[in-house]
Amino acid sequence: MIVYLKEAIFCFFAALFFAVLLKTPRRAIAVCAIIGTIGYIVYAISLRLINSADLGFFLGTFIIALCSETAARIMKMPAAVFITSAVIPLVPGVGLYKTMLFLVQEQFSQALQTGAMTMLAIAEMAMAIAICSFIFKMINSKASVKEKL
Amino acid sequence: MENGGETYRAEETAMHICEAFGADVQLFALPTGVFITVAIDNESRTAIKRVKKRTTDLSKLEKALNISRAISKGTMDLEQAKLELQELLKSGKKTKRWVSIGAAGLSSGFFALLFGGGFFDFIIAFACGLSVWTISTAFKREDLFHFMMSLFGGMAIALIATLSINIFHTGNANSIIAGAMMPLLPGLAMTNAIRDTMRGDLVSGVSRGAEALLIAVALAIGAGVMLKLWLMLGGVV
Repeated sequence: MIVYLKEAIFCFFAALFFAVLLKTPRRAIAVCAIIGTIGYIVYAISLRLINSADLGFFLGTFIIALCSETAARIMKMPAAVFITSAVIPLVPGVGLYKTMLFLVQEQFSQALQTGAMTMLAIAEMAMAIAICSFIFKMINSKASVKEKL
Repeated sequence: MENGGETYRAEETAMHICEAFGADVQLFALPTGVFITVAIDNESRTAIKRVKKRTTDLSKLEKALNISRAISKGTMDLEQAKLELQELLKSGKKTKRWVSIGAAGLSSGFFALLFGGGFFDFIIAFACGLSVWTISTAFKREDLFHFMMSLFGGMAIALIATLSINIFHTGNANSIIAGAMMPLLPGLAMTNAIRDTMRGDLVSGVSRGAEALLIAVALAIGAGVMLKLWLMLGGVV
């Protein structure tokens, strides 16, 4: 439990300052950080309980995208404002770094393995965001059809 | 529009604006340029606009969306919209330099903590973030901005991390370097590239992917060269 709390706090501030760095509108910064933390916790739980990083990347990003789209509608801002900085803690920077490290140490098979896993993680994250925005698009277009009727 | 928004978003926004003023419009947006043709009363005009700078500024993105919304609702007329947009373009330098530098440093530091670093790693990653962002503002005017920034950023991070660990004989190079690299990573560009491609904006998807890949590779090469040198000199990572 303490591990999660610690990670949540670190993640919150990392996402917070990243949001500042990207010049996020001021009233959205805290929301970004909270959404990012929720997503990272989902990832951390799935990593430890189900022992699956892949599922964690997908689920975490999906939750982030879901919260971001909702927040976007509540606060009337584009969803990209929230997703951009919230998703950052999940970007597999460690994977990229380890790939590079293995390459430098000439352990090519391990480099290939971590590299492939990193690419897969990025693809999963993109999938999750795309699926989520697709769902919200469908809900939206249905609502607008109803309005016209 | 190219402040980090999706391609389709830029296209849709421009379409909405033009349709609100009763014009027929066809346009094609790419990460490097926008082509637009507007037809009013059988008279058509075409414009091509080159997009040279590609940065991320979410405030601008949000404000542009608000303006376009106001236009399509009819609460804003052409002159007012023009004024607002011009103001938006000018407002770019509002954020002070030290704010973004400090944010980069703190963000790096907390990422280092997240990746299992201790307090020492936080300090060093903070220093890495500060120095990298200071260096990057020096390159901002150049055409090779993104590439050079990633290359030298990666080198600076690896250099500071290895040196400081050697001097103080403590700390964890992995979490420092990975943490300090996070703010430089093109995470958004990568996911945007895949999303654009899935939506059918193939050209912009591929070109964004190429950009993201190049930045990531430059970052890895920069840090890798330094680490390689370090290993050759007998250091341990």
